[in-house]
Amino acid sequence: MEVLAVRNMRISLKKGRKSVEFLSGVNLKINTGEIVGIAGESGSGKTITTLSLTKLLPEDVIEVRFDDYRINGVKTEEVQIPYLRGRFISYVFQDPLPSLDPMFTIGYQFKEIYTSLDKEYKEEEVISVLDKVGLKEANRILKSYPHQLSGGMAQRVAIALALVTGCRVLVADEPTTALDASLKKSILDLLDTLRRENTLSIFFISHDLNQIFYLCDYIYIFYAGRILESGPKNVLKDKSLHPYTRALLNCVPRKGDRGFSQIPGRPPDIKNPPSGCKFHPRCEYAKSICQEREPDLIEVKKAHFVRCHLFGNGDSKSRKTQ
Amino acid sequence: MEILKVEKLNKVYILKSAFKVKGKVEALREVSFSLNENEVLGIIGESGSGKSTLAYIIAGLIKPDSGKVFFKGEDLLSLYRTSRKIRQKIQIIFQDPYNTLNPRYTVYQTIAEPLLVHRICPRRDVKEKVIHVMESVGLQSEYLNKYPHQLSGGERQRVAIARAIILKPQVLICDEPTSNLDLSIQAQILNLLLNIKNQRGLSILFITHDINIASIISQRVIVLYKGRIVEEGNVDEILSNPRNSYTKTLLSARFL
Repeated sequence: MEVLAVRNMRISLKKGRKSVEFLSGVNLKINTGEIVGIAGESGSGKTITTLSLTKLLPEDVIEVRFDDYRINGVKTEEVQIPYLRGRFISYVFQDPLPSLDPMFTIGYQFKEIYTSLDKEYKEEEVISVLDKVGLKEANRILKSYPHQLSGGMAQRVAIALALVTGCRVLVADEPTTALDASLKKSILDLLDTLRRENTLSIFFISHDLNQIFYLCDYIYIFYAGRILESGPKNVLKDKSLHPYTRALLNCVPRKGDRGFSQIPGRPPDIKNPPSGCKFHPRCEYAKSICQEREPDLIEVKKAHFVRCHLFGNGDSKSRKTQ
Repeated sequence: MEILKVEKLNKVYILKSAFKVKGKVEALREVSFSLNENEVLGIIGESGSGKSTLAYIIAGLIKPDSGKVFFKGEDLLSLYRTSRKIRQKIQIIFQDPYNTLNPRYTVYQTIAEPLLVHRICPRRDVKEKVIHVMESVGLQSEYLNKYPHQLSGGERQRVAIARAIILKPQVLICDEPTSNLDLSIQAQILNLLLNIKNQRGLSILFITHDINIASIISQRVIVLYKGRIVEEGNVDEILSNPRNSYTKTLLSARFL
C-alpha cells in the first residue's frame, strides 16, 4: 500500500538576489514496508529532497512546491506538511554524535521528544524501542551522555529516537558514512529488520551503490536536482539504461577488478547548472539535442523511468547503435 | 628490492586528564613489515586499529616508543636535522582534503611551499615546476591563484597529491585518500595515483578500510587489528582464503 507519494516537487535556491530552480520534476513514492534508495553524488539534491518532505529547509532555499502530496492516498494541504515531522516522518542523519545534544542524558532526550509532541512519557515504550534497535542495557544507556557511547551505539540511539514517536516513514540520510566498515553492515541489517517487523517505510540515502543495492527495493538515481533513472533494484542492477547510472555502477570497486573506471569531469555547480540534459557535459553519448532540450522522465517499462534522449519517443535507433 | 622497512614499532598513547593518567591505548604493538620498490602495499583496518599512527610514524610526524624505520637501509629515527634530504623522499597524503590545505594559501603557495622549505631550486624556477606538477595531476594553470574553499573535494585532493609529489618522493603514504570523496571522483583519484606510480616508479603505502579498493590497487596487504598485524600476504590469497577470524569478519562485511 502506498504510504507517501509526492508529484512534481520543485525547489528554488537563493542565488544573489535572484532565485534559481534547482530541483524539479521529482516524483517520489513509497509503499508500506518498502526501502527506497536515493543515490547520487554530493550536491545532487538527495538530502534536500527528503528534508523538503517535511519542509525542514536550509537557509538558502526560497520555496518548495508540490503538485500533489498524498499520505496513505489522501491529499494533504501544504500548511500541514511541517506537522508531519516526528509524527509521520522521522530522520536519522549521517553523523550520530552531532545529532544528539551533548549536554543532556539520552533519557532526557527521549523525554523531550514526548513533550514536544504533547504525549505522555512512557518508559516501557522507550525501553522496548531501544531493545528493538539492539541496545539491551536500556537503563544504563538512558542514564549516559552522548560522549559515553560509541559511534555504532550512538547511531542506534538516533534510530531509536526517530522510531519512538511511532512514525511510519523513516528517512535515513547516509546513516553509515561516519561508522566503521565492520559496523556498516550491522546498521543496514537493523534497518532491514525494522521494516520487516514494524512495516516501516524507509528512504535510504547514500552515494554508495553497494549499500543501496544490498538494502533497497526501489531506487532513484539523482543528478543535479533531477531524477535521471528510477526502477526496482534488479532492473537497475542489470538492465539500467541511463549512461550516468551505468557509469556510476562501473565506478563501484568490485572483487576481481583490475582497475578503476571513472566518470570524467566534475559534478555541475548547483546554482549554475548546464543547459539541456544536466549530465550532457560528462556523457559519452551526448548529441546536440542533449545540449538544447532537457529530456522528460519516460516510463520505458513498468515502474522503470529514464530521463534521457537516447530512450523513449520511439528513438530506438540510437539505442541499437550504442 | 625493499625500499622501506619497519621493525618492531611500538606506540602507546597515554590518556591524561588534568592531574592523573586515565588510561592507555596501545596503538601499535611489535609491527614489522617491509615495502618493496615499485609496489603498492595495502594496509587494512578499522578505525582505532593504528593504521594512521603507523603512517604518521613513517612520515616522521610522531615518534614511536620503540622500534626502527629504515629507508634504503638508513635508520630514519636516529637521524636529526640532516634527515631533511631523506624526508623529502617520503611524502604523505591525508584523508580529509578539507582540513589538510591551509585555507589562507593559494594553490600555488601550497604546492610551492615544499620546494622553498627544502630549497630544491632557485626561486625563479619555482613557478614553472609548480605548473608542470599541476599538469601531471590534471589541474589547469587557471587554478594557480584559487583558494581551497573555491575547490571541490576531488580538486583539493589533487592539490594535496601535487604537493606531495613535487619533491619527487620514492615512497608515498596515502592515508585513506578517497574516503571523503564521492564514488565517481574516488575512481579518478585512484587512477591518478596509479598513473603517477607507474610514471615515476613510486612505492605506495596505501591505507584504507575498504577491502575492495585494497584488492584492486595493491599487490600485498597487511591487516591491522588493535595495533597488531594479524595477517599479511598476497591480496588474492588473503581475500579468497583468510586465516584470521578478524579478516573473515571484515570480508563478511562487504556488500557485493
